[in-house]
Amino acid sequence: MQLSLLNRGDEQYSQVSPQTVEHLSLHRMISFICENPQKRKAFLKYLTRLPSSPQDVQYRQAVFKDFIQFPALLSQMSDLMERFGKCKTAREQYRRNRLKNLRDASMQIFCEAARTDMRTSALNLKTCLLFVKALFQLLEEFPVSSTGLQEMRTEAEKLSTSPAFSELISLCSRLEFFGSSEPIDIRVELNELGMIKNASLIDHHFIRIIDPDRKSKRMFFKKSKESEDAPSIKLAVSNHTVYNRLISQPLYELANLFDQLNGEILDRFCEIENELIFFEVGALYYNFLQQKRVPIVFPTFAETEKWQVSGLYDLFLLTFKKTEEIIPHSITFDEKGCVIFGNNGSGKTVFLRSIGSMQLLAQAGLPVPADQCLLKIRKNIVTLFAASEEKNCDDAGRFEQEVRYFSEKLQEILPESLVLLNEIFQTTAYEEGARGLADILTYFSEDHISWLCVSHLKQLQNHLPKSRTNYIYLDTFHPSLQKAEMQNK
Amino acid sequence: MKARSFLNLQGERRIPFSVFQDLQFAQIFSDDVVQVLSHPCDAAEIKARQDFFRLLENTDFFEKVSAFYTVLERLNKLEILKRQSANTVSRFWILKEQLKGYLDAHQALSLLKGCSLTDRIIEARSNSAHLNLLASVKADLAEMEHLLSTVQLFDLSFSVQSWLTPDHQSESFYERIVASAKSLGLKTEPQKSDSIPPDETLSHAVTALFPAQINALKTYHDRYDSLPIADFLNDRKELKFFLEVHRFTKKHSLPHCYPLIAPRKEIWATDAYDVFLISKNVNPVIPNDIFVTEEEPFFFLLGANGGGKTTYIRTVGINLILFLSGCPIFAKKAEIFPFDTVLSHFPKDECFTNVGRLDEEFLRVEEMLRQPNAFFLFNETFSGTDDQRGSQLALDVADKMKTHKKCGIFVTHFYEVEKADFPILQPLVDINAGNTRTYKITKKSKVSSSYAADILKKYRLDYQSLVKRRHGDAT
Repeated sequence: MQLSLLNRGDEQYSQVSPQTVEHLSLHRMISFICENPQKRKAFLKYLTRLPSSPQDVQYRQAVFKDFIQFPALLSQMSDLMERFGKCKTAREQYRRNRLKNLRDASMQIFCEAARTDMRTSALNLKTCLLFVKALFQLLEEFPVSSTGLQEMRTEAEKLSTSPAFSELISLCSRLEFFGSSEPIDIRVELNELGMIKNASLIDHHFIRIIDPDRKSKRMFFKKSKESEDAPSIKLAVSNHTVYNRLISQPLYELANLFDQLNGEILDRFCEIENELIFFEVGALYYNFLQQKRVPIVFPTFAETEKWQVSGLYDLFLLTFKKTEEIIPHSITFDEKGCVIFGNNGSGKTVFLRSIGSMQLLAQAGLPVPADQCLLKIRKNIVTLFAASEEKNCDDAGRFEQEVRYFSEKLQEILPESLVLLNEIFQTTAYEEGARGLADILTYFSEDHISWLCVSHLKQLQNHLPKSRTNYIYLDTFHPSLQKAEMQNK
Repeated sequence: MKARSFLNLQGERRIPFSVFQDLQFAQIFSDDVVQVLSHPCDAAEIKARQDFFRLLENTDFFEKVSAFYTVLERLNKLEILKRQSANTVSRFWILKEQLKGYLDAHQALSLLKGCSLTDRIIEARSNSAHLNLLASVKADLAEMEHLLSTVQLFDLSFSVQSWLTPDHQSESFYERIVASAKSLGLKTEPQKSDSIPPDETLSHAVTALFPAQINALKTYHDRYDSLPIADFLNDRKELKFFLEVHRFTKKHSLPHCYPLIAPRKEIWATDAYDVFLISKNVNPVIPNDIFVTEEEPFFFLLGANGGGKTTYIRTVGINLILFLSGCPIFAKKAEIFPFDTVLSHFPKDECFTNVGRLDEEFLRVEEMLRQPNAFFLFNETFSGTDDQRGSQLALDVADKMKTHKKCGIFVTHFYEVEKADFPILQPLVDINAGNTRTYKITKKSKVSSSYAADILKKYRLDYQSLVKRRHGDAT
């Protein structure tokens, strides 16, 4: 089983499009706080694969809290994992080269090539085993409380403190240094047709050679048995092909076995290296919020359709504005859909971005810059921004491009998703655009899809069913937004 | 031999290989099956085989036959290995396996009781000599197995000098690593070694290492070197025929039956299918009725292109050949006379012989017609000449067939033959549905015009299409 600090097990994910991350300007915010492009890329990738249950998010939150509490653990573990990553690279390189090396070896050096192959593979496994031991020793130093880190410690402990672990390391060491001057001893078993079924390498101490001429006696396992043993037979090896195969096969099989075990251990821990990047960048984000002296909260999650957020700061504004220049938003409503009207520059898009970023980061298991944050887990977060902001350059008109783009995105929008719409369908006659958009928004609500729509299409009010209470219309004068809008102005 | 074998292939009757070529058997069955089908059976043999095929449809019996066949396959493989094996040690092991296979084969065969075909074989192989041999093999096999188990494991030590020694309960590195890995909950795959045949040097060394056991094994080797397994090896070939035909029938779940044996020269079958089309997974395949009687033993088959004339003649030919070998045929119900053979005359590629195409066709027909008790299939015979001459030759053949009461079907485009007094078969066209081909062949007295024009129009080669093409507006 693969160990993970981000996921509890085989949970379901909410797939978020990378475009959504960009629409919410999260890539720009992360670029501001993290200089390493590889780490930025890895972090943003994790933002596109979100847990889809409160328990899964809480699992991540707990690990994140441990790393915030013990920054040394995060940094030492990252170093260790980087070295572990090299084990993986070494194995990949070994696997790439081994067949070529064996293929290229002439018959004279074929056995030697097989011996080298086994020794390399033994060394790789030993390095990997020693890493597990080091991981356990590191985790033992910190009193972590998260399930993720505790389980990892238990797993590493279970492996590295077992007698079998020591035995395996000792066998790796024995065969890692299996020198070319050592005798090769093989136990041969014939199958039901008298063919050599198994040829296995055995330790030399199992061999009792009784020279028929009684001239020389080799090592004896039990001397008292010597007289009972049948005399050994001297082999005049003539067919080198058969014997080269006979000798190299067990060495090659041992190499395979070492490699297989190496792979299994690597598989168990391999994802941790990448996952730690998520927590590293997450810690940078946390430090950034602390430097900005904004409130930081780990969101809580409601089972029902509910948003209760107060004092929420827009992350992107924080990257280039002083904290005191930014007015935080507060929003509380239970309805599924929300249209946001407002004059140009009134902060509609900032509002939409703040809500979207908050939802995405909260669901990724990270804290958000707010006083209070209660929300619902979404199956997906989809952004639909006006075509003018896209890079469509085919012959179709802008409205057609929007419609086509919309239709492509529609397959991502599942029930229980959150859809953020920004000034779409405004590239046609407003009445027609509004009618079409209203139909789509109505369908969303009927399909349990939550939505926030920033628009200039006032006609939406005529087409969205006013009589139904699960729709609300927010504009500059809506009571729940009035304060924020006025303050932003 | 007859009583000892699953198939009676000793009779004089034969179906020429050219018939199988004409009917495209190679695309339906393997060469081995075709080889068996080329030996048509008499009524008694047909019945015995039909009984066996019927029993194969019973899952329990089929499994027993399959088990028997598996044992025979192994015996065959061992026989090949025995011929190839160069060293002493391997020969002992192979012999032990042969003895085991011999006992297994007897046991598996005894489970097939209850069918005339198998009962006769079991009876023939149950004489006292056989029974004594079985008892002796059973007793010796256990001792051989014990002896071989003591020479199965040994160690090789390669250093300055190479040695062969007995193994002293060694534990391999592989086993130790696997044991540790298992304790740690790590999964390991079983050791996958390729089998390596021991060379003569190793074989001699093993012989020298275990002299007492090898001497004892030599005794058994001398005793059973000529184990009588020829019958079983023959059974394998013959059972293959039954199993392949059975599997084919099962795979294509269309109606099949075991025809009754008609006392008079006739073929009567309802809803018969073209097995060739079935094997090509054509869907749907339209079944047709076949009625060839003593009163009307010969038919001309005339009619529309692509209407199913060749399919019909193939339907008759393949099902008849299957019947003559005791196989199930693809029809709802049938009663067929066990003709001595089936002969066919299909168009051949022109080849450079010293006679012309027409002469070659004529000579072949003459040769065929000398055969008594055959069923004849003519397809577009004499198409290598003009209408008038071709029609006359076709009618000459028909006259001879009628005179000598020979049975057959003659597919032709010579509409002149319609005027003579011979029964005519014709593809049925649905006039009410735009002259759609139904692929049904019916007996008719009047023949309609050819529908070649439809086909030409379809490919824009009719006159109007060609005129349009000339004006550059063809599509």
